[in-house]
Amino acid sequence: MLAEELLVLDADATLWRAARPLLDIALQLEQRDEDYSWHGWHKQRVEAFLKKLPAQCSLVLGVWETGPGPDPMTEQEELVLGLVCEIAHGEICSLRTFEALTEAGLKPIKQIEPGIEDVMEIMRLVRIDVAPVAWALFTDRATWDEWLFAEADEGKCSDKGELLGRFARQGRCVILGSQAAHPHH
Amino acid sequence: MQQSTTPLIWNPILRQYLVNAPHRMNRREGTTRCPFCADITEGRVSPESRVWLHPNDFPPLQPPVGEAYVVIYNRDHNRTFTELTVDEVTEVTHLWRDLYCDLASRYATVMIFENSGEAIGQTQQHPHGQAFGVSVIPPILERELETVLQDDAAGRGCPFCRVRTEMEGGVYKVAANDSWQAFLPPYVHYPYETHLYPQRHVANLAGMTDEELRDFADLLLRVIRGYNALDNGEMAPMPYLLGIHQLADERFHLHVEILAIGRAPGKLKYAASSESIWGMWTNDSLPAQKAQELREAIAKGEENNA
Repeated sequence: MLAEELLVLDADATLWRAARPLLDIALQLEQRDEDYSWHGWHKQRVEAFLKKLPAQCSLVLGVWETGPGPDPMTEQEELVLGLVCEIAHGEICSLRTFEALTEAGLKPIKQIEPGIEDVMEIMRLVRIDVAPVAWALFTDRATWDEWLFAEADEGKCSDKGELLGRFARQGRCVILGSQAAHPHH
Repeated sequence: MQQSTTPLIWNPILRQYLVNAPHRMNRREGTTRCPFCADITEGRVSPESRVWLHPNDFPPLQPPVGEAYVVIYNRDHNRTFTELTVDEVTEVTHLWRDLYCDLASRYATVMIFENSGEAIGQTQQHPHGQAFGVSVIPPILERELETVLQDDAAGRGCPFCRVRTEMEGGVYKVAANDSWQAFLPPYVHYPYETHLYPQRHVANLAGMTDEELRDFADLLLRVIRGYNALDNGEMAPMPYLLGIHQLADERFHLHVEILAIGRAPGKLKYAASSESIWGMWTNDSLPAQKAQELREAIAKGEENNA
């Protein structure tokens, strides 16, 4: 799942604070025995997913949260998680946040909005700077948390992919990328 | 039933999507002002640009579901595809490759295609094709992918490589060069439908070398010029639908299908009841004979041009 030499390219970035716990979870899955699972995440399933990806590709995640705006009567969307995983031959070989893309021309993180224009720009920069995007998920905090923490046996969903497909059909998230065919009904 | 909040409408019976785009009903048709020449006259493309992308002014799909572009093949409004040189068509293939690399990073499918001829709905005369990035895999491509995956799982290798080898040098052969092969297989829908396969297993245009793209341009021109030479030119200009099948899956095999709609001088093959309603195609011809006619037409056309 994780390459032997996993690089974190911008561990000093503000956005890395939110991404770091995800790496901790991945390390737990990687190092503990095969039966270990964390909120419906299993090492074997993640590995099977990664093995099906193109040899060189990337995974992109953007999560926004609505918070108070500059004045008391307004709200604003803030990017709380922006992560790019570089995949080589079925293993995660590097991690970077969207802050690493600002050098390539991405606008300041605080100005990134959950609209299609900014999402397209992120996708374009990741393709050029990292690798072609196999999957990209853009969503809100509530949907992300619901997906991340969903237990395998809860409800009708048998796996994370099926649950994400349901969220996409409900318009709760946007999925893009070369491997991300819109889920069938 | 699903509300139309997205242009992708799911057919629960056939289990496939269709695109609902009512705004295209009143798109520009039959106007005298060419929107692609306007790219030049209004300075939207540089004087050096010989091929370029024009955003589809009436896109059937928009982000995040998809994107649509017009691929302009040449600055000259009056030149047809077959009047372009191999060098000029090679430039088009390079633009196709760039476009594939860009769109494939956002969408599951990149459909690069051309509708050529008024008989099949071409509305602008300026030499051009089109491209869609789409967040679903269209039914025919999905069927092809299923075959690829089944054969891979069974250890049979690539079915396209197998077909290409079977067609090599046989009665269905149409033309070939160092890196591409054209043939008219026995399962065509249209009498002169022709398939172009790269000789090497490659999944999409991103994996093509410059030399292979030049060979692709060469073979495309030879086949389409061959269509126009059939029956001593009586079938020219042959209306056709051209599509590049490709996926970002290394097991897939890039290929091109040209559905030539003419079946005889002055006559078209229509997708009628059995074809449109049931998907059961009837080919009123012998593919081996049509392949021979096309081979001869290509040879004759090349003799005349020599």
